[in-house]
Amino acid sequence: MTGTVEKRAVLAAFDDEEQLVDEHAGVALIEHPFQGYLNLRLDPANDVLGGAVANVLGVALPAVPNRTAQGDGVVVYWLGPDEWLLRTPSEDDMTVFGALSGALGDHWHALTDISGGMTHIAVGGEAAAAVLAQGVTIDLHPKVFPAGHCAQTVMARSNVLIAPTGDAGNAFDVFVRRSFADHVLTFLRDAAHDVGYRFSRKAL
Amino acid sequence: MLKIKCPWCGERDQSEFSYGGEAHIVRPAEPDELGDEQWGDYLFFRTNTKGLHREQWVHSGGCRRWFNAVRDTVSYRFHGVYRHGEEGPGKDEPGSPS
Ligand SMILES: [Zn+2]
Repeated sequence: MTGTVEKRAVLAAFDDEEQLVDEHAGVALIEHPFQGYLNLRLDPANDVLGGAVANVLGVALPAVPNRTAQGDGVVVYWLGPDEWLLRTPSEDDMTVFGALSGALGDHWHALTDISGGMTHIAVGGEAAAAVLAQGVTIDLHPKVFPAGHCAQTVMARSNVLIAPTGDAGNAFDVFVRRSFADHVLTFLRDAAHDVGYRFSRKAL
Repeated sequence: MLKIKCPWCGERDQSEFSYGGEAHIVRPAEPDELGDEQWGDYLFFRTNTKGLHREQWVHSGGCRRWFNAVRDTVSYRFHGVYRHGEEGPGKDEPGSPS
């Protein structure tokens, strides 16, 4: 017997939970599901590889630690001196993966599709930084953590990648491994208890 | 609470790091040539330094890279960090790799 299996977002279990909304709801927690995530590792000193990747992505891999870069339909996050995360709009679209594989060929590199291994929670609202700050030790103020920066850190004992999406200090992207996602969302809801929150999912 | 400077990410909270023991312990090139005592020395015996100590740390909660640090084991004060392959601060200070 065959049938179709419906895709289930990582945080689908929270859909029916009570929302803590009032007129002052301080944060919106929005899951952006089913995006594509690629992990890319290569020697940053190899200009040939760097050039080939920049051709495909439309932007150079950020060389400065903890910076992001916006390419053609892909956002690049610095993860390490020889490691980057590439985020694409859909996990079903293998265009970037195929183009990178082709461009890098037999050169020494590692390109791994880790879509489905993590999810993305956008935390927005005037209390966004105050809510996140309850779980992290890094400084989230836009003076030191403006748009274009990113940081891997520990939030509520879970490894997360955080990137501000504006310079107002009120919008952040949080990326978390799927097995930690419900813990992190539970933490965020708890941290937002005083300011109110609304959890939703970005429609496909 | 300690702040530790990752050579890539800069200053971060100690809770993002894991300790990796004494640095600059070189694996014997010819393990088969060693007697039990020498092998035991390599595996288990450390200098147990009082004062400046060269040691390994990993930024496990961040960029997940290993690096070396010089730390005073009495005051816990960090005197500097350096990447693998770099010489590091205070080459002639006590605890520097011979
Ligand atoms: Zn680091």
